[in-house]
Amino acid sequence: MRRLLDAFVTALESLAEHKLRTTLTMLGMMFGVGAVIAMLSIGAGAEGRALALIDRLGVHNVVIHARTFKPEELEEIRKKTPGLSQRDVDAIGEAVPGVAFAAPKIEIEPYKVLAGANKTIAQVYGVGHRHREVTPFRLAEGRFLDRGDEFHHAQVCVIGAGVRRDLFGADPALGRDVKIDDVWFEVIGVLEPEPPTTAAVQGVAVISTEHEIYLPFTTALRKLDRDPMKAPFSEIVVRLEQTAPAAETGAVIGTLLDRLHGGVVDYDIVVPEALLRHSRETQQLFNLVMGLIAGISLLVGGIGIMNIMLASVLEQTREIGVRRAVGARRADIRFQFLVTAFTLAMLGGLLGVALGLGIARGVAAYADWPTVVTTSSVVLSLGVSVVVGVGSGLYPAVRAARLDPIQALHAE
Amino acid sequence: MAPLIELVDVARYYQMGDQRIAALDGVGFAIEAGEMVAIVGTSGSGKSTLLNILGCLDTPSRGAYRLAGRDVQAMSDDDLARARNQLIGFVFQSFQLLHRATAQKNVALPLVYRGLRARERNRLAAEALTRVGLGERMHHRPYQLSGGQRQRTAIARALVGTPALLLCDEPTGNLDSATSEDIMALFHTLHREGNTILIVTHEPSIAARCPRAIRIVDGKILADGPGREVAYLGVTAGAA
Repeated sequence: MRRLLDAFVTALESLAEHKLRTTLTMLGMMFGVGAVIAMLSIGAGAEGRALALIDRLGVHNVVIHARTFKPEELEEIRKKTPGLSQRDVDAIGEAVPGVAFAAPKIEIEPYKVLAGANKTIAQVYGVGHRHREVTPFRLAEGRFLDRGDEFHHAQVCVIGAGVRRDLFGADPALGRDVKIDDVWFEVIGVLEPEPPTTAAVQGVAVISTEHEIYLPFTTALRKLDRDPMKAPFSEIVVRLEQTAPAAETGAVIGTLLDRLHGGVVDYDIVVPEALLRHSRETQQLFNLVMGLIAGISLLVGGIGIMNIMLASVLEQTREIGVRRAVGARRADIRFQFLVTAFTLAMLGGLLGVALGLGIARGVAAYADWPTVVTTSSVVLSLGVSVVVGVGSGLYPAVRAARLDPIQALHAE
Repeated sequence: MAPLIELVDVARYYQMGDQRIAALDGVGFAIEAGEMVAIVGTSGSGKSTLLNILGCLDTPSRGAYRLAGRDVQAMSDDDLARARNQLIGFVFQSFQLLHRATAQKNVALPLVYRGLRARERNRLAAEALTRVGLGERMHHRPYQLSGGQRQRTAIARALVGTPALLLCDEPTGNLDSATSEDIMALFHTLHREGNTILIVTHEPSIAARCPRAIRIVDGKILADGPGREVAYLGVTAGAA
């Protein structure tokens, strides 16, 4: 232990002797480690975000979206198929194995949403009573739409927390009326507040429920005006049974819809589970590539250390001779050089950790990209840098230890 | 009691291509503890080889070298290092100080390899520096010291581990004559205090001032006797 401490002090002294050189060598290590940590933190952040978004889509769901088209295209398409409709919902529910149920969703862009004197802007959806089972909703007040609402085309709605704030402030909202376009709806439920996030996972938008209003889809179809060229349903969320294979079931649904729509593909089928798998694979690839790049920069750092250590063996030849003359064993010399290389790598690595944390913070703050610095990435990169450092110090250390003390003493 | 140093028929060969050159060829002598001996010879006489062997930096190709009762010729590399650390204190012509370290740190260096604590090392180093008259300059670095002071520092480093033998290689070779006098005077003082001192030199004038001198010529001992008698043996006026 004392030996290690002595060697460490000597290492610091000899490194301090060439401050510029030491700094430059450490920079190599520092950027390597910093790069690893920053890359992994960005990757981990992206993964976390993707997982959260996919989670909202539901891993046990298959989502079918109506595609949007230009009016002239739509006209052609509508001659062949009405678009996503109740017929599709029924067919999927009855004919596709592994499907628990299918829940339709209609998107409505209202031109006005008001209650009393208050106005708000909201996205309105007509949904089935089982919609709650396919999308995680948490109710703050009241209840969700039920079968009866759906059956009776009830003029009721469930509103997002943002809508509630805008329209009713601190007043009670349940039982009050909201006017959407020219139709009145009674508020029967309010959703829990959630942070506003608008993002997309591989093109699939996931939006916060804050400014959303949910109506029975039957009511929406019958009471609210919609573009007649649009498909009746904007989206059908298909709930799978726990054991059903998502990708295969998605393919079966695709075949079925192809037949029902007369070969016109006016819809997209999204399988969140496949997205998840895809996202994981992308992530793994990202990590691999980044790890490789970072690894190369660590290697370059290591080569820098070896270079400096070899130079200092040459430079310190006389010192090595003196140390040998006063009683240092070969092992002592070897140890000294290894400790010096270790110190160099470790200092560079620690600076790199600081740099990595800084970059991660910076990216999070300025690029608005979530970053997660994991302990394992810090330990990993420091560990690798130390291994690389000591590994690079090995050959110079062995060379130093092999020097003949007599020749070393008389070296120039 | 056995002598401190005992060489019996020691030879050291070097292989130069096909030729085997004998740097030392059948050298034998004994030195008692407390002696002050000069080994004098011209360059190429084999005195440096002898110094390396005496200093446990090299081992003989033939013959036996006993130092403080131990057979050096049979020692492993680590044993040689230990012997250098514990039995020998080197003083070199070019001082061989570590330029980035203070005088005190330089002097303490041998003690590092004895596994002493830093505080103990510093205390002993301070004592040794005081002994050679540099108690005031402990925290100076070699480039802040004069040549004589540097050599005193080196002598303190040789003394710090209380070795059995002080082995000096041309200790005044890089010093002016006045400083040389001071350093020789220091050696004589150390000798009077009971240290065993061996000075390897090419200068007969240094050898002449030692109680005993051994003259080496062509790897063999030409003469071994009182310094005044042996120092100038075989030296022509021109060469001296």
